[in-house]
Order: sequence, then structure tokens, then C-alpha cells
Amino acid sequence: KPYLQRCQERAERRSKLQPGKELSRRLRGVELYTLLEINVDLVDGFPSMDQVKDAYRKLVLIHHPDKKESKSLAFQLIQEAYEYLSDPE
Amino acid sequence: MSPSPEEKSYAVGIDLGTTYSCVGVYKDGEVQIIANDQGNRTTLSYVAWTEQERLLGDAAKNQVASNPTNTVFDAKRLIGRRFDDPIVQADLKLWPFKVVSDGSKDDKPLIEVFYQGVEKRFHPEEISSMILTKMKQTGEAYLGHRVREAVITVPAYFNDAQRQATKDAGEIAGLRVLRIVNEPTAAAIAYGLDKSDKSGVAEKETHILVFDMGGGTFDVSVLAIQDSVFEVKATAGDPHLGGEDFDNRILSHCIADFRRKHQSDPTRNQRALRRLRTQCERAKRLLSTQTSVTIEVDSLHEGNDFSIRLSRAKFEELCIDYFKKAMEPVEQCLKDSNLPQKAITDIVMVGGSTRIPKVQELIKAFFNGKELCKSINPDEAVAYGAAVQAAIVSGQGSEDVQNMLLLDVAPLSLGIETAGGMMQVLIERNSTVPTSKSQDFTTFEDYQDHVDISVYEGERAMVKDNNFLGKFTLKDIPKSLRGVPKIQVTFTIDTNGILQVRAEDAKSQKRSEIQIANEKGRLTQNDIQKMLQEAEKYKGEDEISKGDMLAKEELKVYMQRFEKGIQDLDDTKLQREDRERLEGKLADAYKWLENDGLKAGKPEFDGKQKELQAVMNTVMLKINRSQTEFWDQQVVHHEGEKTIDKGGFILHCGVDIRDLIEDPQ
Repeated sequence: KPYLQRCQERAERRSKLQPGKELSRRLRGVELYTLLEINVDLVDGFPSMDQVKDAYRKLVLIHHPDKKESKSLAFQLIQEAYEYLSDPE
Repeated sequence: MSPSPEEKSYAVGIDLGTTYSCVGVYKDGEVQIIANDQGNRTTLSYVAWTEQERLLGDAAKNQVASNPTNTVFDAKRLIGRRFDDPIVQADLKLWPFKVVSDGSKDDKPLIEVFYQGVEKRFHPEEISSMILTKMKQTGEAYLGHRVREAVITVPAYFNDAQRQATKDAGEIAGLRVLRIVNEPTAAAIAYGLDKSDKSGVAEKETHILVFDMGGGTFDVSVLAIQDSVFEVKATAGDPHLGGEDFDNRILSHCIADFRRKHQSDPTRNQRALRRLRTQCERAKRLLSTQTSVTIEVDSLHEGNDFSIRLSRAKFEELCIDYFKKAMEPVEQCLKDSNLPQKAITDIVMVGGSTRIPKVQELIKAFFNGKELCKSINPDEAVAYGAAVQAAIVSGQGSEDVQNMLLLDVAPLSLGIETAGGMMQVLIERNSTVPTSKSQDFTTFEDYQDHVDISVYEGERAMVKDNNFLGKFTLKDIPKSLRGVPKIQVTFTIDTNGILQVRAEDAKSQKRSEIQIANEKGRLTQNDIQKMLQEAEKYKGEDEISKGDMLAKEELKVYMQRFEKGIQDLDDTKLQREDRERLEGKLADAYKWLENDGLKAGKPEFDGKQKELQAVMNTVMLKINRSQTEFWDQQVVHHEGEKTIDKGGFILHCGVDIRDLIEDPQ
């Protein structure tokens, strides 16, 4: 299989991606939990909502445009991944 | 005069209110709310012109009865609006000062006063800038240092134009506006710090609702607070609801009573109205603690005295529809935040109007009798939060403050007009800012060579029911059948909540963009410069001299043109190394402006501009030499395509490309 397709399938497996739900093009093929620096161990199931929130808070404190080390794109990606993962549907 | 380099400058937080303004600064690890020259911690948002001088703040209000037509207030109710806005038209009837249209297609309102026997007209931004100047001076007097940077607050429900206009007002006052912050969000910081002082940093996530009802505007926000991250979940409100509306109701009640008793009409007597209004406002305040008051004005109109007894119950009856209206945004906000009512741990009351017992009673009833949080000062909380945010953004605060973060949202959905006048939303309301969203659109007609992109804000399905923000055209799309071109529209909202829209044709890479508020009702850079000059006339010797300011503005304008110039040149014209060189120079210049620019004078600014010009000229010379070749290529390119004689068709609507691509299954 082509590399990109394999990436996408892996991302789907590891990020609970759902076919009907919208995700911007730039995040397709990205493992969302990995982006938020959360370890995914599929044996124990997916990380809890609290874990996602904590990871998100930790990251935005570094990457928000108000902070010195920020890159605006990083914040965008984190925000988008967080919104996707924290959506109860 | 440029100040010595070692001089310190502070960043302050300013709550620019409809009726009162307040300034605070973060200093030595805590926030100080600064009292003005009269000893008051809040300053009236009034400006007056007398025969001799201009008066600001409390001094302006003190002489209002004798000079009603030249005493201006409520600029916040005009800012960023059109003259023909129904809200402006309704307010107009109640103001003793004169407001006229500027007659342009933008239909901006102008405030007309007499100063030293001459008629003068001011934009609302200028009036606001005068109040900001007063707040700035208040800060400088306290700190003993210049104040050059500020965070200014606006109601969360202010739209794009109103935010831009407020930012402009700050610039006219000679302030670098670090950030436009939403008032309830600022209040939440004050609450959060107060809480963490008392009980340590909150470990668990808490949700609060901020109910902010001031003199002229009303906001509700729901926030999630954990550690030191303040995340706004949803916001709602009414940009035209507050204490002044209640005053007006009492005023109308009194006028009706006066008419009945004396068979004469005081509505044309501005002086009488003003005196009566002051008493009405006083009565309203007293009714928060007393159950009834007497409104008394001697010799109000045609020698008749006026006296009326007003009970709290009557006051509530007069304003009950307003109070009930205020509960709708609360419900909406809670719904948008996807939180159950019981998840709200605290209800924070901010703004003077939250002292009204009936307002407290209604919100308490809405939350099934939950106690309200009144531990923070309702008049100062917003300025307090703004001061903290100023410290965060300017990097002046302690480590605690540096570790704080505000995540705010856009209050209204933003989108463009598509086929049939439908609104296609790109950014949903309550999206966390900064954010950027793209969507692909295509042409509606065969061989169409340009599209018009109309930008709107609002929640309704049809654009005609929403607020129009601006329009721009993407030209020179390579001609092809309808549905073929792919036009990517990108909306970007910055941390101030201000929108920028960009459209790009995928094939030709042609681009077009606007900062929306530039298009509608907003002052142009030129206007701002003129007003800056105008404002200079009033400024004392403590201000940066006009020449320095102008040179700086000129440099800024040149740098913007420079930047745009680089963007407009495509890679065929501009070689990569040259582009990198130009961009490098520009970045250096921006950095210089941020740091050294704060204390530089005219010679330095002029020098910097010359430096940039020199680099640009060398590159341009190089390009012009190969220019002819470039144009030849363009002609060939066009002949190769199928074209039609007379341009394209105007598309007032894009079509979502996804509707035209057949389902792959």
C-alpha cells in the first residue's frame, strides 16, 4: 500500500477517527493523540477526557501566541486536535 | 523630544466603559487600581468643551447642567457603528449633543460641538481616544513614568468593526494597543487570582459564569479554569443593554408625570433634561439599597418644580422587560458551552448594574437559588484583569503571571455569501482564537474571471439577516468552465478577535485579501494620522512630539507597503535570494520598531526608512531589467487559453466546491 495511505489508516486506528466527522486536510494522517503528546496504548483503550485536557493545557501554555516559544501553526494544530478529540460524539 | 533610553515604560490595563473607565497596572507583583486627580478610582467617560478649554472625565460631568450640548458621553454606544444604524437613531433622540452623518458611503457618525465659538466635529474614536488619554495620564501621574502600551477591554459581544474602532482610538491616544481583551474574560482573571490567593491554585477544573452588566453593554461568558489556564467556553450578550437604558426608562416616567402635572413639555429643554437625568441616575443607585426615593428638581422647566416618589417596585416594573431580556443570553451561553447548569461552581457578578436587587434575584432564580459570588469589586474587576493581561503580554509580570494563559473565543459566526444569498459559515461562534479556517469554493458561471467575496457575521441562515462586514474581489482567475476553478477562502482571527480574509485561486495562485474592518466604517490610516495630529494639539508637553509620531507612522506605513510589495512580486520576478534579503530586512525593521522604536525620535525613524528604501531600490532595478521578458510570457500564456471578449460575469456568490464534485461512490 502507498505510504500515505498506510499512515492514514494507522492514524485512524490510533486516534478514534470517524468517517463522518470533519477534520481539516492538514491533520489527515496525523495521529492526534501523539500530536498532543499522549501515549496511546490500545490495550487499555483510548485515553480519558481528563488526560486529553491535561495534555492540551500543558501544550497551549507553551505554544499559545502569547508565549515566547510559540509558533502560530502549532497552536492551530493543537487546538484542532483537541477540539476533535474532546467532542463527545 | 525623545526620552532617554533608560527611561522605563509601563503597560497598563484600561477598562474603557460606556459611563465609567478605570485603569490598573501590574507592579511589584500585584495589581494597583489607579485613582485619578480627583481621587476617584473610576473616571467618568465624559468629554466637554467650554469657551476656554477641553475638560475630561469628572470635570466634564460637573459642568454638564450648564453646558449640555457640548458635553459628550456614550461614545462607546457609537463606536464602530453606522449613522443609519437603528440603535444609533434611537439613542440620538436621548442625547443632548448633536450627532450627524459624515455623508460618505460609510455613513460614519460625527459628534458636533462648539469650541471657542467654532463648530468642531469628532469621530467617536476621537472621543474615546480623549478618554484613553485621560486614563493614560492618570497612570503616568501615579507611576512617574511614561505609559506607552495598554490592554484595552471591550464587551465580549462587540463585533469586528467595534473592536477595530476601539483599537484605533488607542492609537490616536498614542498608545500601542497590546491586546483587545473581552471584559468578562478580564473579570474572570480577577476572580481567578482572588480565588487562588485564598485557597491556593485550583487543582480541579472549575466552571464559572461571568455576568457583566455595566452602563451600556451586557455580556455573559462561561469559562473553565484550571491551574492558570482560563478557557472561555462560550459567550453571549447584548452590546446595547445597561444602566443607561434603565435611567432612560425612569426619565421617561418622570417626563410623563411632569407633563400630566404641569401641562408643559420639558423634552426640548436640554438643560432641564440633563438635570432630571442626573437625578434619575441617582435614584436608580439609591434604589439598590433603599426601597423608595424622591426625585426632586427645583425649577425644572418654565419655573415649575418637580418632585416624584419612586418605589423600588415601580422601578422594577419600568425595567422588567430589560431584566428579563438579560436572562436570554445566560441561557444561550450555558447551552453553547455544553455544560449542565449544576456544573457552574460560581456566578461572578461584574459591572455597576449587577447591584440592582431584581437583577440578582432573577439570576439567582435561574440557577435555582445558588448564591452569587460578590467577592470581587464589580467596578474594578475588568481593569484589574486587563492589567494582569498587560503584564502577561508585555512580559513585565512575575513568574506566576507569566504562567497564566487566556483562551478567548470569537463571539459571532463568520462566513461568506454563497448561491441564493445563503450564509456559508467558516468560523463558528465560540471558536477559540486565534484560529484560521479554510474552505474551497468555485465559480458559478462558465468563463468567469473574477469572484466577489462578501463577508458577514451573525447566526442567521440568510446573509441579509446578518451583519455585512465587507466585500472584495478576486480577479484574473484563469477562464474555464463553471465549477472547475478552485478558490480557497481563508478566515483568520487574531488574538484580538479581529478578522482577516484571504482568497486564493489554486491554479493561478492569485491572491486577494482584506482586513475586514478597513472596508466598513473604519477609519483609514490617513484618518488616524490626521486625528493623531489633531489630538497632538490638545496634548501637554508630556507627550511624544508630533514629528516623532508622524515619522514613526510614516515608517510603519512604508513598511506595510514594503511587505505588500514583496508579496505581490511572484517568484518569476523576484529571485529567491533577493526575497530572502528583503524579508530579512523587513523583519529586522519590525524588531527594531518593537524595541528601539519605542524610544527613537524622528531622525532614527527617517534613517530606518531610507535604509529600507535603498534595499528595495536595488532589487527593483534588477527586476525592471528583466521586466520586458516577463510581460512577453504573460501574453503567450493568455493566448493559449480560450477567452471570451468582454471579461467575465460577476459572481456575487461562490459555490461550495463539494456540491459540484460528484460523489466518488
